[in-house]
Amino acid sequence: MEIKKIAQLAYLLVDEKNFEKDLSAILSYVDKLKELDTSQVEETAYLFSFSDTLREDVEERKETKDVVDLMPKTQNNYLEVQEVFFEENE
Amino acid sequence: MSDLTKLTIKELHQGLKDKVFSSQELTKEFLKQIEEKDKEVKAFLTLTSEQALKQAAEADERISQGEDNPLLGIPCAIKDNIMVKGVKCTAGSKFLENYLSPYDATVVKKLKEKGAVILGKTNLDEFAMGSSCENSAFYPTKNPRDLTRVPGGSSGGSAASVAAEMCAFALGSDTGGSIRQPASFCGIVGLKPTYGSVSRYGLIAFASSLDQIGPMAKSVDDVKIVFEALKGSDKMDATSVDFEDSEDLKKVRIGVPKEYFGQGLDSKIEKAIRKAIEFYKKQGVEIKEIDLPHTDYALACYYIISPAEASANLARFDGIKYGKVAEGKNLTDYYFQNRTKGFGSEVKRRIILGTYTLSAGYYDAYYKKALKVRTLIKNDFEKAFEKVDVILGPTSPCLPFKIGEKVNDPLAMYLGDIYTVSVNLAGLPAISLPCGEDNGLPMGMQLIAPAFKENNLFAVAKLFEQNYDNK
Repeated sequence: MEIKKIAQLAYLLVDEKNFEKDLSAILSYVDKLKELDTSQVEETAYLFSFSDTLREDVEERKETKDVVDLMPKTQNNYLEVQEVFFEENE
Repeated sequence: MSDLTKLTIKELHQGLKDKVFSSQELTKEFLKQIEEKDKEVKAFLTLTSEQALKQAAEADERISQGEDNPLLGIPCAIKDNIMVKGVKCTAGSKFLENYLSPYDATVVKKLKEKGAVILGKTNLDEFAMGSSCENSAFYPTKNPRDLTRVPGGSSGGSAASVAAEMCAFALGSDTGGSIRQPASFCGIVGLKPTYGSVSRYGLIAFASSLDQIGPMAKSVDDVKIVFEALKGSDKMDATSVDFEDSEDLKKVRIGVPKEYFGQGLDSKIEKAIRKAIEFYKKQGVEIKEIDLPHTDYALACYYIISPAEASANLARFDGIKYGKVAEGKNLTDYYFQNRTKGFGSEVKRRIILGTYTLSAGYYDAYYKKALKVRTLIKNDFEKAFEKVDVILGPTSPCLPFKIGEKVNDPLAMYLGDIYTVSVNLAGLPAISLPCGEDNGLPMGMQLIAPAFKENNLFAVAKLFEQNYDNK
């Protein structure tokens, strides 16, 4: 497992050495699933079918102050972020 | 008055109703208990004493007007991954150290409507990932029964707060055993309800197809009272449903899976469980040996599915909208810096694992495979429940372990979840209740029922609680 590469996909900087041993132990443990023949088995992602859970399509307005207060940086009640387009080497 | 904190919800309700004491007096007793005991136990991350006293005054007012409901004026604690409006909600993470909940979780809204008094928020493993409370970014909680040992996890703070009589009941969340295992370690009762029976709105998500909020308390009746108050559909959680209560059992059939007594089970726990089985036999309960042939694969299945879902759920933590912990040279660097500083090791480990099993080239071999094995595990239970009403076994294969004992061996820590994870994979309800002690260390028995048949659990658990001696 290329830990550094995988971690980068998740926006994490990690020291491979700290994770290598444990992750490989876990992966070799979960490998036991390969013993089972599941060629005829359907997948289960959710247990029950939750159909007909639609609600009325009405707009609900909520007070935004509590949410805005949590933001690290704001301008006129809007979230302020760093520029999205930039040179990678900047 | 000093014994008030020892009473059950049922007894406290009676006392409030008969005006033996007020909710304000009761709340002060619990706050005093917290002040005395929590210095050592460290079950709480945040105390909400002022609001609690206000809520207690309101409850007293409602009681004086003749209102009668079992949670009115009863002090409780909430696991710190469940939102209480205006109160910090850290999920045990540095990322959310200063996060103030902008709204109430549905379960909290319901408790407030019933007039329960919220004393504070309890410690947990970061984002509920762990079985010992040692993964909290703040401090480990200790087991009130032996302060050198862990209280279990991830709802370790909630379990410890009930066991140390610092609240009458607490809410926890259970993704792979996080209510039942700490309940077992601390010698209390904990219920993981059927998936979908209790709204998850306002619970900080770990693995959404497995997560469930549930009650922890001193007795089976108490857990039932809280569950009744929480259950039901909620328009804010599309996976929550209304359901009809199952009928009372006329004749109880208990299934004992031979796979639950395999390698790795502490012999003292096995002995206690065998004794419990003997007890049920003597009560005239029919005991059947059953097979859950895929039990041995449940843990591997769980440790693929839950990190996969977690890696997706935790993608939202980037320090942009809230929870900034670092600066960055540019936006990409900002993400990297915040996520690297914000998450602890166990959370990182699971995000990496989940990202790996979901990545191109590995998805079929790991994630898809695990979803198929999940079907096999679910089918095992369905088949077993054709013959029995409840399945009985140990909650945890081991006794509460020493703080630090397993913290450097994640796989050893995961192996402790062996009896609890399959219940989440199959979406079933299960309860853990005390079934004995070894040198003062509590042991727990787990009962599992078919979906939405929590009443089976309450009936079978109560029979034990009321009639079993020689604990």
